[in-house]
Amino acid sequence: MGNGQVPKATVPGEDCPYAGRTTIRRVSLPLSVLRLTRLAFLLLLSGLTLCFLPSPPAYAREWPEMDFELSSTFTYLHFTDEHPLCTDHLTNEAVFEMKASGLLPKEDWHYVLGIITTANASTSFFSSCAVQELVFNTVINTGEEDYLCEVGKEDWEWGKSFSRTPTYPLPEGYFWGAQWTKTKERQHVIVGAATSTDQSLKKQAAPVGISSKPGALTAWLRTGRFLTASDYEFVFSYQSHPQDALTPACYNLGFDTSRDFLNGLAMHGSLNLRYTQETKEESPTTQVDCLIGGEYTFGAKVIVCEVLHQSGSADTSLIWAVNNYSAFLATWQWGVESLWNLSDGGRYYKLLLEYTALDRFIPSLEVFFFTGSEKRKISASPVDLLVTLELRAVL
Amino acid sequence: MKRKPKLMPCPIAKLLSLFLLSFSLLPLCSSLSLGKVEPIFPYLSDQAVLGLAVEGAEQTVTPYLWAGFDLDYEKRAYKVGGRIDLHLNLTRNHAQTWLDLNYGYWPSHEVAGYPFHHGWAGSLHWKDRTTSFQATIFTGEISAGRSGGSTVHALYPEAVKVTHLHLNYNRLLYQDWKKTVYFHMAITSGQPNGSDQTFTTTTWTLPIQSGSFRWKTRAGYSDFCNRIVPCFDLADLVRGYDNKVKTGDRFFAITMEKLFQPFPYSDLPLASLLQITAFADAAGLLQIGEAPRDLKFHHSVGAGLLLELGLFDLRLEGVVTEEGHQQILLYLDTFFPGPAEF
Repeated sequence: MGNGQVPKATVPGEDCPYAGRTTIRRVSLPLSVLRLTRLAFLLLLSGLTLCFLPSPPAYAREWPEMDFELSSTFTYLHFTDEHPLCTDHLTNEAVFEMKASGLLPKEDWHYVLGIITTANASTSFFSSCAVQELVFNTVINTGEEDYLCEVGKEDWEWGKSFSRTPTYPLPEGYFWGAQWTKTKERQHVIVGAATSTDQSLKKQAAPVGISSKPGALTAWLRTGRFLTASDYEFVFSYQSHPQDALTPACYNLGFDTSRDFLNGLAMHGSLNLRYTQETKEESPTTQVDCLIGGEYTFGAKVIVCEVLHQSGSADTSLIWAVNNYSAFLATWQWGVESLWNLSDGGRYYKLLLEYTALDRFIPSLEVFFFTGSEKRKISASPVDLLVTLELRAVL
Repeated sequence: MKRKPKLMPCPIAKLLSLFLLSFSLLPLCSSLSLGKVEPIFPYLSDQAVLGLAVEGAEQTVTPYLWAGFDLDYEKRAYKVGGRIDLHLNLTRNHAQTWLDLNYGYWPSHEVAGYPFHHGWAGSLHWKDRTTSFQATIFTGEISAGRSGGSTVHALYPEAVKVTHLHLNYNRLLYQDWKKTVYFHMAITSGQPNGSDQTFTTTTWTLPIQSGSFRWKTRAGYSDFCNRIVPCFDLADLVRGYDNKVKTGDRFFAITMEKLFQPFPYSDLPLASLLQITAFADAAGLLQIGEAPRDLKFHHSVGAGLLLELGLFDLRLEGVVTEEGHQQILLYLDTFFPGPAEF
């Protein structure tokens, strides 16, 4: 789970009134597509295998670096007493990831290819196999200026917020796009564009305030400067009309800043003005999202506190967390975090415990409690307890 | 998951003839540099095949042929294929990788409740000092089969054409003086051919040995579709129960065992390998539609003799279930995920 993210529960079961109300829309693909996907998966595995046969082709100068990761997760869901027809539930999901990275023959370009496939009650390893990440990047140095070009599918997220950065217009996930970065001394200019036509993979949907719909084209321009112990950045972004969607195009103008007081305390803030164009159904609107937060590090422990306000939904959230994530060599990693919706009293608590002493094998336990008067604003489900036991094996 | 027979069938004539055949083929193959011939012992991995494995001389592609007889389901089994050694550039060195492609009719428990696999299988194997990993794509027919001459009780007993991916992960988590901890995870996910519905089975196994005490924790989960309904059998989890007394799509099981060595310093052959065992099994199975709160445990206790034979243990046990049902068991077993390839 991402930091501060609320997982949206799937509620299967025939006798449950919430059956089928999942955050993931299931679309029955035609059989031909499934067959093609299966064939593509087989061809991919065969191709990868043939690439590494004992007699390498002469043109291959360097083999890619390969990584495999397998994770298996058991999740227990308990429903609130207000929904007596929903019994407690157990689910299981397996995720298999393959990643290859290396240099293209000219060695100017570096590439990363990540393939992910998920098996659960609704998808198999074949039907869900997809490219999660495919990035080509290169750095061009021209004396005082550096240029970084990135093309492909990746997570374009920026910001230093623990929960989410209001100036980032896309939902969490990996999207096809391109980005060009120019850095000169301490200043930078970044221009990028991405499309959200593809579904986001692995990462959960963002909990609040993201209006990007499938089909939207998002473009951004960021410029800022690093100072001695602080930085600032202006962000302008535009989201186009997604086809067949009611969401109108919108413009965002935002500002991010952070400052490290060099005594363990660091603060950050973010402000975003969102202007939505007029449509036949709705008049133009302006929405203000702002976030202010800070973190204090002492020893290996970190305390984080953030307040996020969204004028559109009239929600104000307080996020706080305590963890030891900065203890990289710790045997155990633990974290406690909570999100309180100050507007309606809904809140959740999350406990995370991870055993990190085993090489390339990480068991973890995550517990979510959803409480408060209007839980649905946070969890969007009748779940009040969610326990996740995950085993992650890296090969 | 391996099946424990009430009393292991012992077709002595078949066993002797197979061993004679293997020993006669061994020098022949060696003299002609044709490779090697090895016997396949039943119950060492997740199947009960007694047979022979003939492997060609090692080269870029090493061919092999396995043939045998399944003692549980009383069927002939075979597998013919080839193995290719690979040289992957992984971030961690000292790993051995190979590719295996085969065709055959071979029992497997990749899909719980469907032990018969007839078709093509291609697998990628990865192995280092502490970890082994196997990814297998299978396409062909799977069926519940017949056990001991009678049709296995299954919702859909007929063979179904499927394509599935099986991932098998085995890891030595900890090893010290008389202390060993393993972890084994097996995941299978696939679809019946011509259908967009999916099925999945997952099992976790955590065997721990500390001195003479053994503890094994297991958990399993399966998702079903219209034509494939994977199911776990209580007989595979708690000794003393008959096959198909209770099946379910989720389970949690614990096995505890204490070993006593009666003759640790004896000079008599095999006496120092003999152990007395006392054990208790407990498992809860959830049937389709049941909630976790409905979990009820079944248990049994027993005692017996165990002969440590290196790769496996030969066990003779008396067991009594909570209902008072008694059984005598004789079988081969491996407590940790075994090194047996067959």
